[in-house]
Amino acid sequence: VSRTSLIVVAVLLALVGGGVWWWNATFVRVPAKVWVGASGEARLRPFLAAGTLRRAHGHLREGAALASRP
Amino acid sequence: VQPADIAITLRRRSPWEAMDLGLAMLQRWWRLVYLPHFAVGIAVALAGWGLSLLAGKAIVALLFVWWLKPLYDRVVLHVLSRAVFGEAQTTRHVLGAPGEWLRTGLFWRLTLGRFDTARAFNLPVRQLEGQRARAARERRSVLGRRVGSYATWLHLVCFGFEVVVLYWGLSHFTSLLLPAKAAEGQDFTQAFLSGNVFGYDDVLAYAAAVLLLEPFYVAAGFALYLNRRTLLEGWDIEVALRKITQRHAVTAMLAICCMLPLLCFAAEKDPRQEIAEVLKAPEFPHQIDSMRWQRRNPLEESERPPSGDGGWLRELGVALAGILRALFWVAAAGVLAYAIWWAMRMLPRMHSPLAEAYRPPASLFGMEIAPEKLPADIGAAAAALARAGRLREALALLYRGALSDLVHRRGVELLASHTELEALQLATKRLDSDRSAYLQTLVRTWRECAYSRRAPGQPEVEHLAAGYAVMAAP
Repeated sequence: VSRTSLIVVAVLLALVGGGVWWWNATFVRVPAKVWVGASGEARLRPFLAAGTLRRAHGHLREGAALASRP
Repeated sequence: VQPADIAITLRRRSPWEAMDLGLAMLQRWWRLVYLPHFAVGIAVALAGWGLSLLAGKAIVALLFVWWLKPLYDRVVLHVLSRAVFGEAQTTRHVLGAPGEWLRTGLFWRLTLGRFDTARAFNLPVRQLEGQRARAARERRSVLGRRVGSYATWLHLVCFGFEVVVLYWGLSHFTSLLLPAKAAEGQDFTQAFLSGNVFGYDDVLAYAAAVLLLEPFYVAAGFALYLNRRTLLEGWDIEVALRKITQRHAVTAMLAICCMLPLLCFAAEKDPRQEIAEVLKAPEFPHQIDSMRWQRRNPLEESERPPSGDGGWLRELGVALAGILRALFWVAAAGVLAYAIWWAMRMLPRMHSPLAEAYRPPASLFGMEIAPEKLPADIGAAAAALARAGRLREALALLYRGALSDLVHRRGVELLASHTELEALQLATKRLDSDRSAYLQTLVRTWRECAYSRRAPGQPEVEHLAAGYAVMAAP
């Protein structure tokens, strides 16, 4: 292994080590609440919640009428 | 702007889907859009052409066509916005009332506001909503909060299409119209320095590219704007409810009357609790516990950038800072890529193939060096050639003999790719001082003879032939 290669490896290691040290000195992992968007059927049907509520009240037998809305 | 009159299906769309909607809108109303757009665009291109003829440089027309893009954008948006809300504008209507689309902040957009990278997305704020100054800035800020980057990407993609695909393609086409030898003898560097790198065929190609593509850009930006307002202001819900009301007004009244007792019963329950129960289903938006990175010492209030309104100067400064930041990141990425490339070259290879065992070559530098091809007493044979006046052959024989000795007797691994000096460098590591000195003299004399055409004197060659005994000695 040539001297130049050793210098290159040393510089790269120093850079990576310095970067890791700086990151750890600057940032910290904290717990957080993250919003998850609608998924599945709720993503396709904006009135799904309304339909479910109405079905729960017995006002709508099937969700077809609301599902056909744009 | 009344959402109820809208002629497109309003629903929640992703920004990319919204831009696609814009293209579908253009596909539907292309005739209404392109006719006035062509009328205005061609007039501008002809004016630019005239200016360039006066100036004697085609680039003037090119810049003129590019600079006036906000003007064409207004025509396209004027037609599209009315078509979307059910009012088809004919070319005569559009050109007959230019004040409707010209007096919409065009001067600002052609001067300091020209370099807006979300032009198509921001245009409706001024042209359709009539917002100005601070109100317009705040409005643009609200609208662009989640889709600003998409609007910028739309701008970049359209610019790429315009330059790379359409302009290059069309300029190759227009160059076909030129005589075969029109570009012969032209010096690109000289033309570039003198500002004549663009010809009138380029102007034609660029104007055609802009005329074709600009409506796509404006339509996609407008659709992005409509989608943002739909999300922010609930247009989709409003339209859906209006349609339900219109279609089922009587039924709804009857249903409400019939269901009053049920509704009264339902009123006993807590509606908030019921809705919360429904929304507990995992497919509805909800919060999850996660981890994220956070600064150990959050920025102090004084360190944060001011959020107050500083006018157009601040906007200009922010825009310049954004450009500089982008340039910095590009430069940093370039430097990093170069450093990695350089390091990869410098580092020893991890999986380098095993070197093959050295096999002495039969010839080097075009000369046969196999021992069986050489006389037994090289020194004597070279001396005989020198006495016969064949100095170059004598010198070549000594040189071949020396190479053969190095490769076959002393194990110096010479390759065909080595130069004479490299061979000498490798050889001196294996030879004592006398042989090294002799070899240096031999190589120098041979190089002067072979490359500089400087024939050595007979005594010099005879001296070398006599001295070959040093090399031949075991």
